[in-house]
Amino acid sequence: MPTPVGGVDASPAIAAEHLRRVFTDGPEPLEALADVSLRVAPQEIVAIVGPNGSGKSTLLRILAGLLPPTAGRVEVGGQEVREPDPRIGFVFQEPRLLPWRHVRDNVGLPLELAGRPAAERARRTEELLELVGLTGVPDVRPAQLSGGMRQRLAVARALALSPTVLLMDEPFSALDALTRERLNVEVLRLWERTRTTTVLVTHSIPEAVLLGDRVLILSPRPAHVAAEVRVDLPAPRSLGTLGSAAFAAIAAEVRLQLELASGGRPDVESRWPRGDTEALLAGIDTLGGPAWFDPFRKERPG
Amino acid sequence: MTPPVPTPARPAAVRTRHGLPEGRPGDAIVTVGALAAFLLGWQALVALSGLPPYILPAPGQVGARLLEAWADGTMWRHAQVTVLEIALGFLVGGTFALAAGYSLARSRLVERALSPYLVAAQATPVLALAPLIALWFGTGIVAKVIICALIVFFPVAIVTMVGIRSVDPRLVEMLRSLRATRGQMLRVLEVPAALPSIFGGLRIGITLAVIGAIVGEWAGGDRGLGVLLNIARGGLFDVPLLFATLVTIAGLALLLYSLVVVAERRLVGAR
Repeated sequence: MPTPVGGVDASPAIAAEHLRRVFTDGPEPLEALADVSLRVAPQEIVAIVGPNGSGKSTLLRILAGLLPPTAGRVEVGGQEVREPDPRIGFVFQEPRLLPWRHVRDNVGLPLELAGRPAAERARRTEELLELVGLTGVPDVRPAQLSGGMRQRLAVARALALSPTVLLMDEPFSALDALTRERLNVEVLRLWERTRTTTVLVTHSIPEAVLLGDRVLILSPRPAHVAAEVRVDLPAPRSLGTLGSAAFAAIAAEVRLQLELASGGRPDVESRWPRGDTEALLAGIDTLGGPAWFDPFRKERPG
Repeated sequence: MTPPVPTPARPAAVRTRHGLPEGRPGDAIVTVGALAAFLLGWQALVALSGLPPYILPAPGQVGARLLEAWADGTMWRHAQVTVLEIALGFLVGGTFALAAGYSLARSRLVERALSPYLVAAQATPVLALAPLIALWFGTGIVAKVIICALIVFFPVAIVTMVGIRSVDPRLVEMLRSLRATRGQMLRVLEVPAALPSIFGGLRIGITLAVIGAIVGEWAGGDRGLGVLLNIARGGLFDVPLLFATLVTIAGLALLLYSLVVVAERRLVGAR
């Protein structure tokens, strides 16, 4: 994936400054976010990982305007976000489809709410179904579809109004590993076609590294951005990327940072592959190893 | 020793667990059979007990009187008034109940202020209220509609409240992320989500409305099935007509109940 026009001066697609959030509705105040700032360049994919309960979902809801921050501000394209915004698409952890509506009425729901005429809705809905690889899916109720298909519909719905920013909250965590990997690749294909700026919250390190241009690591609650890992992997990424040594090295780095952020002492094993081993594997990866040396072949497509 | 080989399941659709034919023809056989058994039992009771017809008429006598009362227009003259009262009362009570149920679900304030009165009003027997309402609103149709509406109100309001409260908050958040207005939230999410429980309340409500109308007519009136009951029992001392009226009321209740069920099937459908 091409390196986005990041950097400090480029105007970000979405930016958050010094977000703080304290929940006061419990028996005692709970500080979920201490101070979180982030800038995501146009067309960039940023993955956010963090320990359980570190406020990842809170952060994403504030970015979406679903939850007001206690302090700080969120901007999309230079304009402050104070409430849900048509320029932002949100994919939840569960598909959250309306169970009594058929497939197309669910996908077209944002268009219906925005008051678009029926003909436009029908056309755009087919376009969206095609985008998520569900062309010609029968127009049934969601309960009749698989979990993977339902989550694809949720992604299609989030893209209905062509948002400039797509926020995804652990979107594939309820799916089995194989479906999850397939959908990860699907997200990459989708991004290649729409180039939508994406912020992805996940607790899967492979998912974060495979999809992200950068991975932000949150500290435990109250959260701040503890570390950032750049993901320099050659484009186009695919399932085969998961088996490359460079991928393994970056994933190990993310795991290390995550453990540091969690306050644990990283054991040496988790740093594999570093040093000589890493160099060797990276070399093999770039030069192309001998035909017999492909321990991950079974994961490569074709 | 070889373990017993499980018998492969026989093709479905042939017989159910109960050994009855599947599907609608089977249902009809059961219904008709139960009715026949009931009528036979009734006939047997009359024959064996030797009770005079003015205490317990035979089903044949009641059937004949029923046909006669429909043929000469007596039954319809009274039934049409009762049907109108029930329909209006159900409509008025149901409408207010839906609105009240929604505000009860959405506002703690409304719930705090209104629920004690709601419960108290429901706990007061409608039989005790009917004479008072007749005193205030006269012996015309208005009093009966009010009684029907009152009796329908409570169950429908409560199930509406419960139905709207139990809407999945995750779906509310999803719609919020799509900037749904209050009205859109109601139309797209809350009403469809609460519809199954609302129909549960309407099923109870429609049967209660029948009771409300009859009770209202007892408290005063010159037409209606409740009035006909009084006439048959008192002035005419026509016990077969009394039974025929009861049969008509029961049939009316069944018919109205099935209308609600049909509406439910159309609107709720398979989920």
